[in-house]
This record gives sequence, C-alpha cells and structure tokens, in this order.
Amino acid sequence: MKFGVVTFPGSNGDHDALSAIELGLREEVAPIWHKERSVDGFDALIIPGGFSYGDYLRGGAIARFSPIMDAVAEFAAAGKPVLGMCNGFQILTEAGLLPGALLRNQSLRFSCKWVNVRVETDRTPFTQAIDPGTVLRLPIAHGEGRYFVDPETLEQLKARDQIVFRYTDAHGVETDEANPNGSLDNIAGVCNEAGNVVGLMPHPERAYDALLGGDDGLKILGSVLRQHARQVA
Amino acid sequence: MADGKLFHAEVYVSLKRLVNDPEGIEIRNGLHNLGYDEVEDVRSGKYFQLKLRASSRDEAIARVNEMAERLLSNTVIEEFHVQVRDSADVS
Repeated sequence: MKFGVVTFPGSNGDHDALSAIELGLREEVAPIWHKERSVDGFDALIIPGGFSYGDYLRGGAIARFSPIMDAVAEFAAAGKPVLGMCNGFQILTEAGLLPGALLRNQSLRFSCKWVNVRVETDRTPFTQAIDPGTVLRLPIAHGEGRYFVDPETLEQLKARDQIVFRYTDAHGVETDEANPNGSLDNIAGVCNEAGNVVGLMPHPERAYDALLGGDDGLKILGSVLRQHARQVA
Repeated sequence: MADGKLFHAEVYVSLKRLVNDPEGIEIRNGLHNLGYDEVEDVRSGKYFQLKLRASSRDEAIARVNEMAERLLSNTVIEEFHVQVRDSADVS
C-alpha cells in the first residue's frame, strides 16, 4: 500500500508521518509537495500537522487553496482514505471535506501532552481494525483544537455515526478533566458522511514506537491496511 | 485590474453568539482588573480593510459580502459585517 503525505509551507508533522509509515508500519510512502496537482498512484493520503501558511487568517484557511487540494478533494470523493491530523484536521474542515471547525483552546494556552481518546466507531478506514470503546494514548500539540459544530449538526453527526474519537480518561470515561481544549462533547476526531475522510487533533504519527512514549498511533495508521488487503484480494 | 470606481470596504468578523469566546472573557476580566467595572461583555474578532474597484457601491457590497462568506470568515463559527464607502469619502 502506498501512502502520500502532503507538505504545505509551514507543515512540521510531515516527516513524523513519513517516518511513522516507513519505520512503524513498514509500508511504502512518499511526500507530495502542495504545488503538485496529482495524487495518482497513492492508496491513502495524509494531511499532516504543523502551521501551514503560518496559520494566517485561521488554521488551515489558506492551505485549502493549495494546488494539490483539488486532487485531494477528488480522491476523497472517490471514497479513498484521507487522514488529517492536527493542522491537517483544520485544513480538511476549512476545505469543507469534514464538518465543524477548530477554535482557540478554552484555556487560551498551547497544549502539548499525552491524552487518552476512545475509539467511537469502526466504520472508517482508520478505525476498522480497532474495537469501538478501545482507549488509545496519543500526544497532542495544538493551540486551536476546540471542536465546534452547531447543535443541529452535532445531532446529525451522532445520528450518522460521524464522531470517531472522544477525549476520555484512561478508563474510557468522558470527563471535563480529560478534555484538553474544551471541545464540544469531548470530540477529538470526526469523519465525513461516507466515513473515508477522518480528522483528529491528536498525533498518531508521533506515537509509532515505544521509544517515543507509545505506539498506539500505529493502530490508526495501520487500520487502513486491512481494507487495502481486502480490496486487493 | 478591474475597471470601475475605487471603494473602501471594512469587514468585521466575530464569533457567533452561540460560540464560546474565552479570549473575549479574558479581555473583559483584564478591563475589570483595570477598574472598568462597567464592562459587561467583550467579544473579540478580526478587522479587514479592503480597497477594491466596482461599477457601483451595490456591486462592491455584494462582492465583499461574498469574499467574507468564502474566505474572510468561517461561517461555521463566525459572523461578519461589511461596510463600504466611496474612496472620495475616505480622507
């Protein structure tokens, strides 16, 4: 399976993602510069973390106009797997590929620490190999991660099984203390209606080896391989 | 460059009432600390100045509203307000 990792000016999680896939998953991976216009030959796309375009205007607001984003939107519309992490999540919401928006953390502080998230659904390519209810330990590093949607959209997301990850304590219980940024309903990650586009604020690509403090991120990145194996077979 | 008269537009973007604004709350607390106890509420936001050409003021207003909706604000979380003036009225 070949992964592509899109690099925007200001991305800083792109090399983490490349390393996680190459060293952690041992799968083929290549960088994609944001000025390119094609994603031909890739089976899954990763929109990495960082501060694309310096977070000017709003996080992700300018990156969505990069030439590569038309190809990313086509890839997503074709039902192929796309994962946005941190700033990548912000970019996908600004591009309209995922619902909602990410606001300044409730604390007004940049938050950099390990958190627990509970997997809410196995209907996405990035969670299909994980039992719902499983608690994963992942790092976060963001100043604008407070997930928001209006109340009607929140009900839609629940009804359509689009909430993919929630912040919880280590036992999988949603608490205010476990919510690092004030996200609505403890939401850490969502998917589009079809389920193939997933975004989350935590960094699975920074948790691919026990030496880094944990390897739960591989469960998310590696989940997509199961679907690929099925398609090939 | 487009033809037409020169207009000055101002776009004010702020969080919707529905959206919690911790920055505004902290600024209000700061004002209270300075003794401005009369301040009941502060909402923070962004302000843009645009210079543009359009055939009429109405066209300029319509175009800037479109810009605000498509890029200058994120309508999931923000609302905006547009003011357009003739360039001649701007000193």
